[in-house]
Amino acid sequence: MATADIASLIARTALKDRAAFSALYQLTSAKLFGVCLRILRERSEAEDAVQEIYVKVWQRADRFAAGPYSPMSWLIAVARNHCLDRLRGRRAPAADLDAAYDIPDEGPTPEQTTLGSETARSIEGCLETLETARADAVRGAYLDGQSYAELAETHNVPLNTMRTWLRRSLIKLKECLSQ
Amino acid sequence: MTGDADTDGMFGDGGDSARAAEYVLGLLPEAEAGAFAARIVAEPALAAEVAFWQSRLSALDAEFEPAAPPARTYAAIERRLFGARQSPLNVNRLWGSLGLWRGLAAAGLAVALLAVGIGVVAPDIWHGTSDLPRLVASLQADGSDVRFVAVYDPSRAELALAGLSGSTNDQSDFELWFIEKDKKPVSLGLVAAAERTIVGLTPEARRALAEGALLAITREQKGGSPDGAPHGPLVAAGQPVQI
Repeated sequence: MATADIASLIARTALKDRAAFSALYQLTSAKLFGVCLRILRERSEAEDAVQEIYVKVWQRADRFAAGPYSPMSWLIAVARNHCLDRLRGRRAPAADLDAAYDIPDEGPTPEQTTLGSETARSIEGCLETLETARADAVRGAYLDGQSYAELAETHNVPLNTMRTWLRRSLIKLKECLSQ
Repeated sequence: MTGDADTDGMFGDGGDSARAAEYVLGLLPEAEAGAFAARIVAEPALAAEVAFWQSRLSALDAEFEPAAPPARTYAAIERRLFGARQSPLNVNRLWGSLGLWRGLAAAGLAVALLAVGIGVVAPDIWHGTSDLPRLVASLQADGSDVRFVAVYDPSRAELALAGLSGSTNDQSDFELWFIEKDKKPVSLGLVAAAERTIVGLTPEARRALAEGALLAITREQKGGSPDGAPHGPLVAAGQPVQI
Protein backbone atom coordinates (compact mmCIF):
# COMPACT_ATOMS: atom_id res chain seq x y z
CA MET A 1 0.00 0.00 0.00
CA ALA A 2 1.47 3.28 -1.11
CA THR A 3 2.56 5.58 1.69
CA ALA A 4 1.40 8.59 -0.28
CA ASP A 5 -2.09 7.11 -0.56
CA ILE A 6 -2.40 6.63 3.18
CA ALA A 7 -1.04 10.08 3.92
CA SER A 8 -3.55 11.63 1.54
CA LEU A 9 -6.41 9.59 3.02
CA ILE A 10 -5.46 10.80 6.49
CA ALA A 11 -5.36 14.38 5.22
CA ARG A 12 -8.81 14.01 3.68
CA THR A 13 -10.09 12.39 6.84
CA ALA A 14 -8.93 15.49 8.67
CA LEU A 15 -11.29 17.41 6.38
CA LYS A 16 -14.11 15.08 7.46
CA ASP A 17 -14.21 13.20 4.18
CA ARG A 18 -16.06 10.04 5.15
CA ALA A 19 -15.29 8.21 1.93
CA ALA A 20 -11.59 8.76 2.57
CA PHE A 21 -11.97 7.58 6.18
CA SER A 22 -13.69 4.42 4.95
CA ALA A 23 -10.90 3.79 2.44
CA LEU A 24 -8.31 4.41 5.14
CA TYR A 25 -10.04 1.82 7.32
CA GLN A 26 -10.06 -0.71 4.47
CA LEU A 27 -6.35 -0.28 3.88
CA THR A 28 -5.13 -0.22 7.46
CA SER A 29 -7.54 -2.00 9.78
CA ALA A 30 -5.95 -5.44 9.50
CA LYS A 31 -2.62 -4.09 10.65
CA LEU A 32 -4.08 -2.07 13.51
CA PHE A 33 -6.27 -4.98 14.61
CA GLY A 34 -3.14 -7.12 14.59
CA VAL A 35 -1.51 -4.63 16.96
CA CYS A 36 -4.54 -4.82 19.27
CA LEU A 37 -4.60 -8.61 19.25
CA ARG A 38 -0.92 -8.83 20.09
CA ILE A 39 -0.90 -6.34 22.91
CA LEU A 40 -4.31 -7.04 24.45
CA ARG A 41 -4.25 -10.80 23.83
CA GLU A 42 -8.03 -11.02 24.12
CA ARG A 43 -10.24 -10.91 21.06
CA SER A 44 -13.27 -9.01 22.28
CA GLU A 45 -11.04 -6.41 23.98
CA ALA A 46 -9.11 -6.05 20.74
CA GLU A 47 -12.40 -5.56 18.86
CA ASP A 48 -13.44 -2.76 21.22
CA ALA A 49 -10.00 -1.22 21.07
CA VAL A 50 -9.79 -1.13 17.29
CA GLN A 51 -13.11 0.72 17.13
CA GLU A 52 -11.91 3.25 19.70
CA ILE A 53 -8.68 3.66 17.77
CA TYR A 54 -10.43 4.57 14.53
CA VAL A 55 -12.62 7.03 16.44
CA LYS A 56 -9.35 8.63 17.61
CA VAL A 57 -7.98 8.58 14.07
CA TRP A 58 -11.10 10.40 12.84
CA GLN A 59 -10.86 12.94 15.64
CA ARG A 60 -7.10 13.50 15.43
CA ALA A 61 -6.36 13.14 11.73
CA ASP A 62 -5.72 16.87 11.60
CA ARG A 63 -2.77 16.37 13.93
CA PHE A 64 -0.90 14.18 11.51
CA ALA A 65 1.23 16.57 9.55
CA ALA A 66 3.69 15.32 6.95
CA GLY A 67 6.11 15.39 9.82
CA PRO A 68 8.73 12.99 11.02
CA TYR A 69 6.43 9.96 10.98
CA SER A 70 5.34 7.78 8.14
CA PRO A 71 1.54 7.61 8.00
CA MET A 72 1.50 3.91 8.85
CA SER A 73 3.79 4.36 11.82
CA TRP A 74 1.62 7.23 13.07
CA LEU A 75 -1.46 5.01 12.86
CA ILE A 76 0.33 2.15 14.60
CA ALA A 77 1.59 4.54 17.30
CA VAL A 78 -2.01 5.66 17.94
CA ALA A 79 -3.03 2.00 18.11
CA ARG A 80 -0.14 0.93 20.35
CA ASN A 81 -0.64 3.81 22.76
CA HIS A 82 -4.35 3.19 22.97
CA CYS A 83 -3.78 -0.49 23.69
CA LEU A 84 -1.21 0.33 26.35
CA ASP A 85 -3.69 2.69 27.97
CA ARG A 86 -6.33 -0.03 28.05
CA LEU A 87 -3.84 -2.50 29.40
CA ARG A 88 -2.79 -0.21 32.18
CA GLY A 89 -6.37 0.78 32.94
CA ARG A 90 -5.79 4.41 32.17
CA ARG A 91 -8.58 6.81 31.29
CA ALA A 92 -8.59 10.37 29.99
CA PRO A 93 -5.09 11.52 30.93
CA ALA A 94 -3.58 9.12 28.46
CA ALA A 95 -5.22 10.97 25.59
CA ASP A 96 -2.86 13.84 26.23
CA LEU A 97 0.15 11.59 26.01
CA ASP A 98 -0.58 11.10 22.34
CA ALA A 99 -0.44 14.86 21.88
CA ALA A 100 3.27 14.69 22.51
CA TYR A 101 3.70 12.67 19.33
CA ASP A 102 2.13 15.38 17.28
CA ILE A 103 4.55 18.16 18.10
CA PRO A 104 6.44 19.06 14.95
CA ASP A 105 10.12 18.63 15.24
CA GLU A 106 11.60 22.08 15.67
CA GLY A 107 14.71 21.35 17.62
CA PRO A 108 18.02 19.88 16.52
CA THR A 109 17.09 16.92 14.40
CA PRO A 110 19.27 13.85 14.42
CA GLU A 111 19.75 13.00 10.76
CA GLN A 112 18.54 9.51 11.45
CA THR A 113 15.04 10.82 12.25
CA THR A 114 14.03 10.70 8.61
CA LEU A 115 12.48 7.37 7.87
CA GLY A 116 13.96 5.54 4.96
CA SER A 117 17.39 7.03 5.33
CA GLU A 118 19.66 4.37 3.94
CA THR A 119 22.66 5.50 5.89
CA ALA A 120 20.96 4.97 9.28
CA ARG A 121 21.63 1.78 11.18
CA SER A 122 18.50 -0.30 11.59
CA ILE A 123 16.92 -1.20 14.88
CA GLU A 124 17.00 -4.89 13.99
CA GLY A 125 20.70 -4.79 13.27
CA CYS A 126 21.42 -2.95 16.48
CA LEU A 127 19.20 -5.22 18.54
CA GLU A 128 21.36 -8.09 17.38
CA THR A 129 24.37 -6.48 19.01
CA LEU A 130 22.67 -6.82 22.40
CA GLU A 131 22.42 -9.99 24.45
CA THR A 132 19.39 -12.00 23.36
CA ALA A 133 17.51 -11.47 26.61
CA ARG A 134 18.01 -7.69 26.43
CA ALA A 135 16.85 -7.55 22.82
CA ASP A 136 13.85 -9.67 23.76
CA ALA A 137 13.00 -7.22 26.51
CA VAL A 138 12.99 -4.30 24.07
CA ARG A 139 10.79 -6.28 21.70
CA GLY A 140 8.58 -7.40 24.58
CA ALA A 141 7.95 -3.79 25.54
CA TYR A 142 7.33 -2.53 22.02
CA LEU A 143 5.46 -5.44 20.48
CA ASP A 144 3.73 -7.01 23.48
CA GLY A 145 3.24 -3.93 25.64
CA GLN A 146 4.99 -5.57 28.55
CA SER A 147 5.56 -3.42 31.61
CA TYR A 148 8.74 -3.44 33.66
CA ALA A 149 7.00 -5.71 36.17
CA GLU A 150 6.03 -8.18 33.44
CA LEU A 151 9.46 -8.07 31.85
CA ALA A 152 11.09 -8.69 35.22
CA GLU A 153 8.85 -11.70 35.75
CA THR A 154 9.44 -13.04 32.24
CA HIS A 155 13.19 -12.81 32.65
CA ASN A 156 13.15 -13.85 36.27
CA VAL A 157 15.01 -10.87 37.69
CA PRO A 158 14.11 -8.20 40.23
CA LEU A 159 12.27 -5.14 38.94
CA ASN A 160 15.16 -2.72 39.49
CA THR A 161 17.54 -5.03 37.69
CA MET A 162 15.25 -5.12 34.68
CA ARG A 163 15.03 -1.32 34.70
CA THR A 164 18.82 -1.05 34.80
CA TRP A 165 19.31 -3.64 32.07
CA LEU A 166 16.81 -2.00 29.80
CA ARG A 167 18.12 1.54 30.25
CA ARG A 168 21.68 0.39 29.57
CA SER A 169 20.45 -1.48 26.51
CA LEU A 170 18.65 1.63 25.25
CA ILE A 171 21.84 3.67 25.61
CA LYS A 172 23.76 1.05 23.65
CA LEU A 173 21.04 1.03 21.00
CA LYS A 174 21.23 4.79 20.72
CA GLU A 175 24.99 4.64 20.18
CA CYS A 176 24.57 1.91 17.58
CA LEU A 177 21.76 3.69 15.77
CA SER A 178 23.69 6.94 15.72
CA GLN A 179 26.69 5.54 13.91
CA MET B 1 31.28 5.05 38.32
CA THR B 2 29.05 3.48 40.98
CA GLY B 3 27.44 0.05 40.87
CA ASP B 4 24.03 1.68 40.86
CA ALA B 5 23.33 2.02 37.22
CA ASP B 6 20.55 4.54 37.45
CA THR B 7 21.57 6.56 34.46
CA ASP B 8 19.80 9.79 35.35
CA GLY B 9 22.35 12.54 35.43
CA MET B 10 25.22 10.09 35.37
CA PHE B 11 25.42 10.13 31.59
CA GLY B 12 23.89 13.55 31.01
CA ASP B 13 21.91 13.35 27.79
CA GLY B 14 21.96 9.58 28.01
CA GLY B 15 19.44 9.89 30.82
CA ASP B 16 16.96 11.84 28.77
CA SER B 17 17.51 9.71 25.70
CA ALA B 18 16.82 6.50 27.59
CA ARG B 19 13.78 8.10 29.18
CA ALA B 20 12.50 9.16 25.76
CA ALA B 21 12.84 5.57 24.59
CA GLU B 22 11.06 4.33 27.71
CA TYR B 23 8.31 6.85 27.01
CA VAL B 24 7.85 5.56 23.47
CA LEU B 25 7.96 1.97 24.70
CA GLY B 26 5.28 2.74 27.29
CA LEU B 27 7.47 1.79 30.21
CA LEU B 28 7.17 5.00 32.23
CA PRO B 29 4.67 4.92 35.09
CA GLU B 30 1.60 7.05 34.40
CA ALA B 31 2.53 10.10 36.45
CA GLU B 32 6.06 10.15 35.06
CA ALA B 33 4.78 9.74 31.53
CA GLY B 34 2.45 12.69 32.00
CA ALA B 35 5.26 14.86 33.30
CA PHE B 36 7.46 13.75 30.44
CA ALA B 37 4.78 14.57 27.91
CA ALA B 38 4.63 18.09 29.31
CA ARG B 39 8.40 18.40 28.88
CA ILE B 40 8.18 17.18 25.30
CA VAL B 41 5.79 19.97 24.44
CA ALA B 42 8.10 22.52 26.06
CA GLU B 43 11.51 21.23 24.95
CA PRO B 44 12.14 20.83 21.22
CA ALA B 45 15.32 18.82 21.81
CA LEU B 46 13.35 16.30 23.84
CA ALA B 47 10.65 16.20 21.19
CA ALA B 48 13.36 15.40 18.67
CA GLU B 49 14.62 12.59 20.88
CA VAL B 50 11.11 11.10 21.12
CA ALA B 51 10.70 11.46 17.37
CA PHE B 52 14.01 9.66 16.89
CA TRP B 53 12.99 6.69 19.03
CA GLN B 54 9.47 6.51 17.59
CA SER B 55 10.87 6.53 14.10
CA ARG B 56 13.52 3.87 14.70
CA LEU B 57 11.40 1.58 16.84
CA SER B 58 8.63 1.70 14.27
CA ALA B 59 10.80 -0.51 12.08
CA LEU B 60 9.62 -3.26 14.45
CA ASP B 61 6.04 -2.65 13.26
CA ALA B 62 6.68 -5.22 10.55
CA GLU B 63 6.46 -7.86 13.27
CA PHE B 64 2.80 -7.07 14.03
CA GLU B 65 0.80 -9.70 12.17
CA PRO B 66 -2.21 -8.27 10.33
CA ALA B 67 -5.56 -9.85 11.17
CA ALA B 68 -8.95 -9.00 9.70
CA PRO B 69 -11.29 -7.44 12.25
CA PRO B 70 -14.94 -8.63 12.30
CA ALA B 71 -17.04 -7.44 9.38
CA ARG B 72 -19.35 -5.39 11.57
CA THR B 73 -16.48 -3.27 12.93
CA TYR B 74 -16.72 -0.37 10.50
CA ALA B 75 -20.46 0.00 11.03
CA ALA B 76 -19.79 0.09 14.76
CA ILE B 77 -17.17 2.79 14.27
CA GLU B 78 -19.60 4.89 12.24
CA ARG B 79 -22.25 4.45 14.94
CA ARG B 80 -19.83 5.72 17.56
CA LEU B 81 -18.92 8.71 15.42
CA PHE B 82 -22.10 9.58 13.60
CA GLY B 83 -24.97 7.98 15.49
CA ALA B 84 -27.73 6.11 13.74
CA ARG B 85 -27.22 2.89 11.81
CA GLN B 86 -25.88 3.65 8.41
CA SER B 87 -28.06 2.17 5.70
CA PRO B 88 -27.67 3.80 2.33
CA LEU B 89 -30.80 5.06 0.62
CA ASN B 90 -32.07 2.17 -1.51
CA VAL B 91 -34.98 3.45 -3.54
CA ASN B 92 -36.27 0.01 -4.58
CA ARG B 93 -36.21 -1.26 -1.04
CA LEU B 94 -38.01 1.87 0.07
CA TRP B 95 -40.84 1.29 -2.40
CA GLY B 96 -40.92 -2.37 -1.50
CA SER B 97 -41.80 -1.60 2.08
CA LEU B 98 -44.80 0.48 1.03
CA GLY B 99 -47.33 -2.10 2.17
CA LEU B 100 -45.96 -1.83 5.63
CA TRP B 101 -46.36 1.93 5.62
CA ARG B 102 -49.92 1.85 4.46
CA GLY B 103 -50.58 -0.22 7.53
CA LEU B 104 -48.81 2.36 9.59
CA ALA B 105 -50.70 5.24 8.04
CA ALA B 106 -53.08 5.40 10.96
CA ALA B 107 -50.20 5.41 13.36
CA GLY B 108 -48.57 8.12 11.29
CA LEU B 109 -51.68 10.20 11.49
CA ALA B 110 -51.78 9.77 15.21
CA VAL B 111 -48.19 10.97 15.46
CA ALA B 112 -49.04 13.94 13.29
CA LEU B 113 -52.03 14.89 15.40
CA LEU B 114 -49.91 14.58 18.49
CA ALA B 115 -47.33 16.81 16.92
CA VAL B 116 -49.98 19.43 16.30
CA GLY B 117 -51.35 18.95 19.77
CA ILE B 118 -48.02 19.62 21.39
CA GLY B 119 -47.39 22.59 19.18
CA VAL B 120 -44.68 21.07 17.08
CA VAL B 121 -46.66 21.64 13.92
CA ALA B 122 -48.54 24.93 13.79
CA PRO B 123 -52.31 24.55 13.75
CA ASP B 124 -52.72 27.03 10.93
CA ILE B 125 -51.23 24.45 8.62
CA TRP B 126 -54.33 22.43 9.32
CA HIS B 127 -56.81 25.18 8.93
CA GLY B 128 -55.90 26.71 5.61
CA THR B 129 -58.26 28.60 3.41
CA SER B 130 -58.81 25.81 0.96
CA ASP B 131 -60.84 22.65 1.11
CA LEU B 132 -58.15 20.64 -0.57
CA PRO B 133 -57.21 17.57 1.39
CA ARG B 134 -53.99 17.69 3.26
CA LEU B 135 -51.29 15.08 3.15
CA VAL B 136 -49.53 13.99 6.30
CA ALA B 137 -46.47 11.80 6.56
CA SER B 138 -44.73 10.29 9.54
CA LEU B 139 -41.10 9.80 8.62
CA GLN B 140 -38.95 7.16 10.30
CA ALA B 141 -36.61 4.28 9.47
CA ASP B 142 -35.42 1.05 11.07
CA GLY B 143 -32.31 1.46 13.16
CA SER B 144 -32.62 5.22 13.12
CA ASP B 145 -33.74 7.44 15.95
CA VAL B 146 -34.75 10.21 13.56
CA ARG B 147 -38.47 11.02 13.39
CA PHE B 148 -40.15 13.76 11.44
CA VAL B 149 -43.69 14.74 10.75
CA ALA B 150 -44.50 16.33 7.40
CA VAL B 151 -47.72 18.12 6.53
CA TYR B 152 -48.42 19.19 2.99
CA ASP B 153 -50.86 21.99 2.39
CA PRO B 154 -51.72 22.12 -1.31
CA SER B 155 -53.29 25.56 -1.02
CA ARG B 156 -50.00 27.04 0.06
CA ALA B 157 -47.74 24.83 -2.00
CA GLU B 158 -45.73 24.35 1.14
CA LEU B 159 -44.50 21.39 3.09
CA ALA B 160 -44.19 21.91 6.81
CA LEU B 161 -41.78 19.61 8.58
CA ALA B 162 -41.13 19.17 12.23
CA GLY B 163 -38.28 17.15 13.65
CA LEU B 164 -39.50 15.10 16.60
CA SER B 165 -36.26 13.29 17.38
CA GLY B 166 -32.78 12.84 16.05
CA SER B 167 -30.03 15.36 15.64
CA THR B 168 -27.25 16.49 13.41
CA ASN B 169 -23.82 17.76 14.40
CA ASP B 170 -21.22 20.06 12.94
CA GLN B 171 -20.39 17.44 10.33
CA SER B 172 -23.83 16.56 9.03
CA ASP B 173 -27.13 17.96 7.86
CA PHE B 174 -30.52 16.40 7.15
CA GLU B 175 -31.58 16.64 3.52
CA LEU B 176 -35.14 16.00 2.36
CA TRP B 177 -36.02 14.23 -0.90
CA PHE B 178 -39.18 13.29 -2.72
CA ILE B 179 -39.08 10.06 -4.66
CA GLU B 180 -41.51 9.10 -7.40
CA LYS B 181 -41.85 5.51 -8.47
CA ASP B 182 -39.02 4.49 -10.84
CA LYS B 183 -37.45 7.90 -10.65
CA LYS B 184 -34.41 9.27 -8.90
CA PRO B 185 -34.77 11.15 -5.62
CA VAL B 186 -35.14 14.91 -6.01
CA SER B 187 -33.82 17.17 -3.29
CA LEU B 188 -36.13 19.52 -1.43
CA GLY B 189 -33.24 21.02 0.49
CA LEU B 190 -32.03 20.86 4.07
CA VAL B 191 -34.34 20.50 7.04
CA ALA B 192 -33.58 21.46 10.60
CA ALA B 193 -33.26 18.76 13.20
CA ALA B 194 -35.20 20.09 16.11
CA GLU B 195 -37.38 22.81 14.68
CA ARG B 196 -40.04 23.42 12.13
CA THR B 197 -38.96 23.90 8.54
CA ILE B 198 -41.20 25.24 5.81
CA VAL B 199 -40.25 23.92 2.39
CA GLY B 200 -41.52 25.73 -0.67
CA LEU B 201 -42.48 23.32 -3.43
CA THR B 202 -42.04 23.54 -7.16
CA PRO B 203 -44.98 22.57 -9.39
CA GLU B 204 -43.17 19.34 -10.13
CA ALA B 205 -42.82 18.51 -6.45
CA ARG B 206 -46.47 19.35 -5.82
CA ARG B 207 -47.55 17.08 -8.62
CA ALA B 208 -45.31 14.28 -7.38
CA LEU B 209 -46.68 14.50 -3.86
CA ALA B 210 -50.26 14.55 -5.09
CA GLU B 211 -49.48 11.39 -7.06
CA GLY B 212 -48.03 9.46 -4.14
CA ALA B 213 -44.33 10.24 -4.03
CA LEU B 214 -42.41 9.18 -0.94
CA LEU B 215 -40.59 11.57 1.30
CA ALA B 216 -37.14 10.58 2.59
CA ILE B 217 -34.48 12.20 4.72
CA THR B 218 -30.80 11.32 4.47
CA ARG B 219 -27.89 12.41 6.62
CA GLU B 220 -25.54 14.26 4.30
CA GLN B 221 -22.31 16.18 4.80
CA LYS B 222 -22.62 19.69 6.17
CA GLY B 223 -24.36 21.88 3.60
CA GLY B 224 -26.08 18.97 1.93
CA SER B 225 -25.21 16.77 -1.01
CA PRO B 226 -22.86 18.57 -3.40
CA ASP B 227 -24.39 17.10 -6.54
CA GLY B 228 -28.14 16.73 -6.10
CA ALA B 229 -28.03 13.01 -5.40
CA PRO B 230 -28.28 11.37 -1.98
CA HIS B 231 -24.97 10.01 -0.68
CA GLY B 232 -25.53 9.67 3.01
CA PRO B 233 -27.55 7.05 4.87
CA LEU B 234 -31.34 7.03 5.02
CA VAL B 235 -32.53 8.16 8.43
CA ALA B 236 -36.26 8.57 7.94
CA ALA B 237 -38.85 7.99 5.22
CA GLY B 238 -42.59 7.74 4.81
CA GLN B 239 -45.45 8.03 2.40
CA PRO B 240 -47.88 10.89 2.84
CA VAL B 241 -51.50 9.92 3.47
CA GLN B 242 -54.50 12.04 2.84
CA ILE B 243 -56.44 13.46 5.75
